Amino acid sequence: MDFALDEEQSLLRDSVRRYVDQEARFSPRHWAQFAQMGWLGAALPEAVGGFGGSIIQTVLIAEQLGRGLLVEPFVPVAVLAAQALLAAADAEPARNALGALIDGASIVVPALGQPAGMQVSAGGACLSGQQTLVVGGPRADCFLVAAPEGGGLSLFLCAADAPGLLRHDYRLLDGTPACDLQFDAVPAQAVRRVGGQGDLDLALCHAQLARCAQAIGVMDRAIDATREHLLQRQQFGVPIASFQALRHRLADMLIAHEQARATLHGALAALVTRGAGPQATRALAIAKALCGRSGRFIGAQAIQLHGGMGISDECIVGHCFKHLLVFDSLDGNTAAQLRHLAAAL
Amino acid sequence: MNFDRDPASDTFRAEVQAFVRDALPADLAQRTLRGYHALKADMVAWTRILHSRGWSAPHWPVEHGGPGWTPLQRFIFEEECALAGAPPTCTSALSLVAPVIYTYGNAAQKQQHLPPILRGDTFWGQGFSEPNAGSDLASLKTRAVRDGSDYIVNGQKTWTTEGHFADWLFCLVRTDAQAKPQRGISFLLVDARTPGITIRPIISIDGAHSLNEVFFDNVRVPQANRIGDEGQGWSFGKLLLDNERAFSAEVPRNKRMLARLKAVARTQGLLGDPVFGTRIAEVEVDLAALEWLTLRALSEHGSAAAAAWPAGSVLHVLGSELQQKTGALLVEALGERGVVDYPELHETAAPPGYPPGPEHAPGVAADYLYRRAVTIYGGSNEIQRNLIARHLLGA
Repeated sequence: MDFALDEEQSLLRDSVRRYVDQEARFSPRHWAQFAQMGWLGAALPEAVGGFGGSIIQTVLIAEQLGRGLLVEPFVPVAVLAAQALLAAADAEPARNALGALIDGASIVVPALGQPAGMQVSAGGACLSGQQTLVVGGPRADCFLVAAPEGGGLSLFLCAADAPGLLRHDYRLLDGTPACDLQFDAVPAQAVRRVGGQGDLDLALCHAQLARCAQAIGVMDRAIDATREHLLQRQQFGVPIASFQALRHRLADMLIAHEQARATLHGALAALVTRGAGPQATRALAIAKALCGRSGRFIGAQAIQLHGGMGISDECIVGHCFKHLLVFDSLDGNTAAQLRHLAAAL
Repeated sequence: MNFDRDPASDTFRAEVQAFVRDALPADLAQRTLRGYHALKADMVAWTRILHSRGWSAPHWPVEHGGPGWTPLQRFIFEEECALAGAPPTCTSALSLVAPVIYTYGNAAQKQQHLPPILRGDTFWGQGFSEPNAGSDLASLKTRAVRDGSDYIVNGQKTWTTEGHFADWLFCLVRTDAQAKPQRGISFLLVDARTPGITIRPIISIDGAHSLNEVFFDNVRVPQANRIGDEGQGWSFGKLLLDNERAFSAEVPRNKRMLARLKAVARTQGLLGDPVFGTRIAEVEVDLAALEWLTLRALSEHGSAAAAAWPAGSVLHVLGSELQQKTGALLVEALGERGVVDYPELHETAAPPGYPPGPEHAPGVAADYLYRRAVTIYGGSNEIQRNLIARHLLGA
């Protein structure tokens, strides 16, 4: 067990960090640059055109993108869709889609949330049904959809501009583009036929871990900003960093952040040593619960310690708060994770 | 970062489990798991059992009789002991004074003190805190004045855990009233039976006697009992805290408390209760974080990465607050029996006239009450938060 980054891991972290430090939060250039720098395929094997890394590379990149508050759909596309396609990559359609995903030519957005709401028709060539809150959906040129078929679950790719596909775009509170999708006999290409939900589990685990890492990056940003503010802001003739009530709050923020990171380590270890299974599921529920709780706390306290300027749109900490609120709310919030864990007692 | 499987740790854990299963007497485990303060006889008995296996001092270097374990192995060992209900050994001796003796003591001091500590033959008490020197320990006033080849010690120490069991005391005393507060402090080993020493009990809110105050009235201590030079005492005290920082979360104890909480909740029919169950789940989440923070601190021990975060303080705050949170849930799980005053119980079965209630009730409230201390001792959590803030803010 080694918690420190090795040289290669540090280089990757630093390069993503440098990038997000220089870049605006929104830019149409981001995605092509992610591809150029190899981040979209960082955790994929060389055999499919990736760069041979693992979930470790995924969390390193995700954390720094979180720190930069970037709203690009890195996790849905380069983690969830990529890992789901990887599991099907022994067949050509998935391998081709993965290749295009890695070099940035195609943004494959997963719409895997409610497979039960989808129906396969026309002998397996068309899809109907709906998917809600598809994160990153407005950026997609292609959707990865799961639908029940023959007692199992099949995976399909649909072009975003396919006939019969109706997209309703909106944004989440943190600026993340999302959409609801209505499928009306949309032509679809099967990339894996009649597998099981279990075939998606590993990809879902990777995505959950990556989202937690991203949230940890946001927390890091909020704490840094708060630290700077306490040192610079003067009231009563002294920096407010000299006030013990504020110092203790900042200490609690650091503690909450380290707790969150610890559960990420725990979930990484469970996934790496045991693979997708009950241990990893439990460790991920713990990580999601704690990262959600820590994130909400850190985001809220960052605003509080900034005083009035904390609620202005110009100030970064309000955006951190919104990112962390969105993170907690999606994919089962802290309360929902605790209920799952309680049910397993 | 690398979390690949570590089969050597699994093998080691199995070895410790097998040993503890065979070697730990059932009555010791039963008493310990109730949560009352350990009997001296139990502590001695367990230390001797461990010593026979060469495991009584898991963290000592091999040359002084330690098993040569890594910090992770020590952690696994302590966890398995705690879960099985092993009584504590004498922490003041094995973990606090011994590292100071083997790191800074002279050959005679090592020879005199280390072997009996290792065997469980001598008990030690810590004389650091004073009535007016708690968080501000450097303001301590107990004086040691040279007189021939001795010191004459006068003053008062307090909160000496198991001082009434102690054969020896290790004390921070002021040998130079003129120097800066930290520079005027020396580290003395004092035979607890020296004339002029009076040890009085402090009864804590759990109704028990584990704490003591120690009075020094013209106590004659040979200068040969000083560790290191005059004025170095403060730095030894700091070393002792740094040594233990990765262990300050008390993960083994927290795990034992969670196991007890689940057992009590099960018998009380609360495990399926959605509200109570969720609160137990929250303890599980906190404990998982605590465990991984500890594993990280253990893995970083002695490396540059250790300086990147204030591990000792973070672990102390979280580990102590979790003990209190779990303890409160344990009391709550017992319902109204949670507030019955169950006197200390060391027999296998409750004697006639003992307060009625579920079998697992005795000790729950006493342990909860005593554990109000854990957020205070070893540097209160407010002091720890000061240290964390200083780490972040630089001043």
